[in-house]
Amino acid sequence: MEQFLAWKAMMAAGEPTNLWQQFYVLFYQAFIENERWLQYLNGVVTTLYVTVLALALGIILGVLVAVVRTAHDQQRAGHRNPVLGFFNGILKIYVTVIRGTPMMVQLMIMGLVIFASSRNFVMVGALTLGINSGAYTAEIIRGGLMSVDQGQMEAGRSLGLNYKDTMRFVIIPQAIKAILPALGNEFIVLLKDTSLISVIGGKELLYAARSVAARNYEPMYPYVGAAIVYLLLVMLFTWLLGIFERRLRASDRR
Amino acid sequence: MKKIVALMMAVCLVLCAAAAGAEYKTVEAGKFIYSTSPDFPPFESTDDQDNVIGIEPDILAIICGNLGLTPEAYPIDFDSALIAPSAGKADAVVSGVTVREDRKATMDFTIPYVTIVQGVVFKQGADVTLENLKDKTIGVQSGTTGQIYAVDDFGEDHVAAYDKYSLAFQALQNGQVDCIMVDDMVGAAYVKQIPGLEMIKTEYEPEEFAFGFAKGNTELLEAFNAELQKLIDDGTIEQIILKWNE
Repeated sequence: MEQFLAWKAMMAAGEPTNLWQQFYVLFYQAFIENERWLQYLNGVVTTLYVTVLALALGIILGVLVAVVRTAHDQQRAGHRNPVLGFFNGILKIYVTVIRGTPMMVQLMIMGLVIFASSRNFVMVGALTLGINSGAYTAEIIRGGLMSVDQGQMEAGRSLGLNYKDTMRFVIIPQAIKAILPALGNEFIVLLKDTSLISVIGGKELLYAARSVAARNYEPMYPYVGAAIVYLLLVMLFTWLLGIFERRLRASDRR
Repeated sequence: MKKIVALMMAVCLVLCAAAAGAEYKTVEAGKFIYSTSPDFPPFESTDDQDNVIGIEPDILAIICGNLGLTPEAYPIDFDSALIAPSAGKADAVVSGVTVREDRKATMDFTIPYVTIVQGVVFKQGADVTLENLKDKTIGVQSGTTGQIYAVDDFGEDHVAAYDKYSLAFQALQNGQVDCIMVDDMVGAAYVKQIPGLEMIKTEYEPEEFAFGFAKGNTELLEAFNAELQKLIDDGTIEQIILKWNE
């Protein structure tokens, strides 16, 4: 602490300082002074909280949309179900609108127009990210479901399984393996997109870094620090996903 | 032959361009690039052609004219605008910058030219007083003295920081924040533009505005200071401020 103040005074006065002293001062004021690391910690907690909420919402929405759209697309010719067609149309609009507009614009609209009276900026952010992620996840899952050969469904049905059971025991297990890498991609994008909620006042990791940078007028250490934390989170996530993928592949080698 | 003539003309052009602003060292020769957050009327805002206008651009136009430089705005969020000169992206930050001791570490200030105090803007009739601010959510712009005071006195949980003051005022109208802490002259400008708002002044120390130059550019700073002093002495600054506060 005294060391920090002494060296900081030296730097402010323009006296010559060596690299270690500069690093120490800038690092100390970016992370340790006034317990600033707590701000980053709170930010990381919010980031993870938003990611988990958005992820859950995104998967639920994605599965629902994908199942309806796949069911619609895989109907036998001449047997069109009008109810399915109606919902398929609505969901198509949802996917088109969400994928066709930037995340930032969606956040602005949700934060300042649709939920104009909400003060829970973090929840609004999580909701927006979840709805956004749902559209992408839906297309990924739909791709997975449609990639399973039609013969699998026919075989399942001819063995006496109904549509639901064929989906559950035959189609979905095969589809999950195919979509996992793409889904992992989407999760990673989602984790990093949480940084955008600072534009509507959400206090996540980037917000903490910006606050500190604005206090010290020194951008490098807070921003690089935040970047390293994001990188570590993504690496951790990738590692977990890798384990999951490996376990699913265990049955592949015969 | 034609090529040689063309080449000579090109060289001439480059030399002429360099000669125009050669007197002062700037980021781009002949230009005075200033970082600014143009959501800060009457000091700076944008017109319908996206030009930066206001008190400070007017002052700059006169001074830079006398120094033979062309002012060029570099619009960016306020917290980034403060860092731009030390990062070598701008010659100065011109964005209603309060002279603060901690800011002197990263920039050289000109002489101050105006004094303001912090104000609190809220919806007419809302129960906001200087005493109950600690129970309210205060909207601010990232990196401003308003944010520093609000966070220091009322805690991070009572502050919502936005990229721009225009967004913060949008949030105030939505009811997402209870009040905005902002420099009084700027608050007054927003109160004038948006119906149904009112402002009270806080008891924080008055703050002085100046231009924050990149550190070490003494020659330009001194020339600029001399011109600025002239404008203060002959009342031009006062007139410009009056004009924009009308």
